[in-house]
Amino acid sequence: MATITCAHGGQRITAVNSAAQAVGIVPKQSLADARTLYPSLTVHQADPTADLKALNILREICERYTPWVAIDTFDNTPSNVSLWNTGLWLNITGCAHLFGSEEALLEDLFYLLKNIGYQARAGLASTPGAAWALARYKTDPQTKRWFISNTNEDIRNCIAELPMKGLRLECDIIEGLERMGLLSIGDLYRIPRAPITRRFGKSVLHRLDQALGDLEESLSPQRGRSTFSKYLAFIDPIGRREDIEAALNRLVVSLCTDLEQANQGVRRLVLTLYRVDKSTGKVQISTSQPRRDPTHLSMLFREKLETIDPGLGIDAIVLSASETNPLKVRQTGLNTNSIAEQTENVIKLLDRLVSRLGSDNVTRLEPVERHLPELASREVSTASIPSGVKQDWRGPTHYPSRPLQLLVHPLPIDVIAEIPDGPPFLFYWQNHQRRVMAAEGPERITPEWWLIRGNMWKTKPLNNDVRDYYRIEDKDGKRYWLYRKGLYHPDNHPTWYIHGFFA
Amino acid sequence: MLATVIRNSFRPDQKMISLLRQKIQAIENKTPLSSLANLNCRKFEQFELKNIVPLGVPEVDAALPWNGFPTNGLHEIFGDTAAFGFLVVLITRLTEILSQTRHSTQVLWCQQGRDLCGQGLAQFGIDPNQIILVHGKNDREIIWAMEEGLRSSSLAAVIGKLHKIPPIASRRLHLAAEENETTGLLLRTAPSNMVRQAPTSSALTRWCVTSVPSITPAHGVGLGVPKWHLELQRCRLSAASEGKLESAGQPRSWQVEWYNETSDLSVVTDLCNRSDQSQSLWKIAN
Repeated sequence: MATITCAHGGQRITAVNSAAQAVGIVPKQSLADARTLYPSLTVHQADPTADLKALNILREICERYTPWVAIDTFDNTPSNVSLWNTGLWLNITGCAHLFGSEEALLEDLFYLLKNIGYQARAGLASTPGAAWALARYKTDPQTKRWFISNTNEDIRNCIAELPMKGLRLECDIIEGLERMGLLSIGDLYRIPRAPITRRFGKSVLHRLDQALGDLEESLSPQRGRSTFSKYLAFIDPIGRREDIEAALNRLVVSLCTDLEQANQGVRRLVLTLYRVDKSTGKVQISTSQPRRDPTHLSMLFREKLETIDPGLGIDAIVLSASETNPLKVRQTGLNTNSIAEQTENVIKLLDRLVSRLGSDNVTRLEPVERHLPELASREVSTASIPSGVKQDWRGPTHYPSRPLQLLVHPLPIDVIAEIPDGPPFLFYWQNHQRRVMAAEGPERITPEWWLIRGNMWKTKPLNNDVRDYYRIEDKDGKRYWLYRKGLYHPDNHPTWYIHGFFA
Repeated sequence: MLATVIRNSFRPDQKMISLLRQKIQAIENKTPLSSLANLNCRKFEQFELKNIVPLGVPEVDAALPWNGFPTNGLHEIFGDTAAFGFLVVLITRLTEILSQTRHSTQVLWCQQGRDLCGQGLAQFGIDPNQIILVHGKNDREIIWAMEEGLRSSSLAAVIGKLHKIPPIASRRLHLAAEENETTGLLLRTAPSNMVRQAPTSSALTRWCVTSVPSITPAHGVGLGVPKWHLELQRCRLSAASEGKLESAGQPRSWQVEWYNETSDLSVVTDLCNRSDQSQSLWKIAN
């Protein structure tokens, strides 16, 4: 049996089955030639789209072995209408051990494919290029179905004897190489590289390096479309915000019904707008917990809809859930003001705030075990720490009084002190001279010893990094937190900084 | 012909004028008129009390018509760093009372800078974990975040550090606070000389808190207890003042001291006129 297509001035064979191959029928042959070899050849019209569809189904099947499955559409037959040479890439890095071994994985794969009626060949190597060549042009004498090469050194020997076709090159380049007597890939190892590049372009050596692992090659997996996706097309393009909102609300409601049936909640939703001028716009929202509450989700979008530019009009919108998590149906209480209800409300509020202001701007404070006050706490996004977590704000030792307001970056100030290592007597802040009426201190804070610059033993690095903090009250009763950086030394005059304000 | 047309078109419509006169009269006499009553404005007198949080200072609480701070309303605090302290004290009082009624004690804190010190707050008696910090790029974003927070009706308080607030925004915030029984606190960072000229807002109370020199401790070294000048500048009298003293809600001021260890705010007794005797006794003793 063979499939045919109309190309190159006649009907030509595009693909053959093994029986036809046995009598000598090959792709690219004209149908007349094939019929002379085997008069009762069954032929079918080739259907590339159906082939691709079938390959896509196979890709989905193969996703059980690895998430990294891609369709290989490289085809070096001159008439690019068949999928004769295409196949699937499976990047099984880190997946083989789940099946026991690489052989066991392939065994399983072949068994599965055989059951659904496919004959397959496989090549396994540490580079995609070598695997491609091995799958097509080499067979293990024992298994007859696949070939596995383990090490990089092995690849070199394995593919050396394979025909030049194994390098994924254009048809005319292969012909050119063969005319020069370079029949197998191994022939390329021995000859100088420069003349090849000059004659055939970069692609020959590029493909060779990729096969040998000297050049990186990345495969991009085609991920399946999100299962939770809704589509709405308009008869007339829409442009008003109210219209978009109404359409969006309809999609959100129907999407939520789907989610409810699947017991799923959405973590991330993407709204794609297809404009009249073929451009697309994207709006994305994310929630801190899985949700499928239509009103809440629409509200999150409402904040973002302001940023949408409808352009000349929007033809269609697609709403798809790019990230979902299981969400069980929950019984709501009759008491509307319960703690659970309140926590729920707070989470909804946080979602709204985050969607408008960004997750960097909606934070909670978290203590950090560091000595310097500005490093002793940090702001983390509310998604990463929930409320009600017990935090230790006292630090390793109970601190003396800390200010309510702490400057992120201490500001240098001019200070007059009575004695160089005493508390300040007068300082300037916001263009005003402040008389110090009372001072408390010093509280000496140094960075952790492993962070101190310089050699601890030779120089006296402590002198520069030590901070002596003073609590100061000025004439008006305002309280400040000042510090002197570094110790006083006749040739080292320490600088003063303001770091915080007490109430 | 043309002239007559013009004259006719300018002839005043008697019906219209009488209606306008009626309206003006209604506004001047403050008598309700059906068309005016339809205006979407709620009277302050409709303000309904829900929960009162006393400040814990008898003198100050007594001066307020509600014997404390109503939790469903907007309060405004002006001043310097002392105002910050007063605000934190208010929050501790609020969360204390609300946690007893199994209410969420989370606080939304909206401001522009990132200058809150967790350790400092913890020492004041607030669990920093209960604070959700929101950083807005401008006052508009802060006001928006505050309103969202108030409308969620699941927070103990919503705090906003603002420079200016338009009257409509403050009205919206107050209504949101009132409907959702959440306290809104505005920390206004206007310079102290500008406080008096600040336009009135819809807040229930307006305070101005400034630091005053503390009393040197007995041993003469270090800082004394923080001392603040607490001034009630404005208080919207409401129906709640019935049965209260006439003076309730009148502008007043106190000198208070904050004792952090006991979480206690207390009024410092004013100096009074007295005879020279105490002085002379001291002289004799010497």
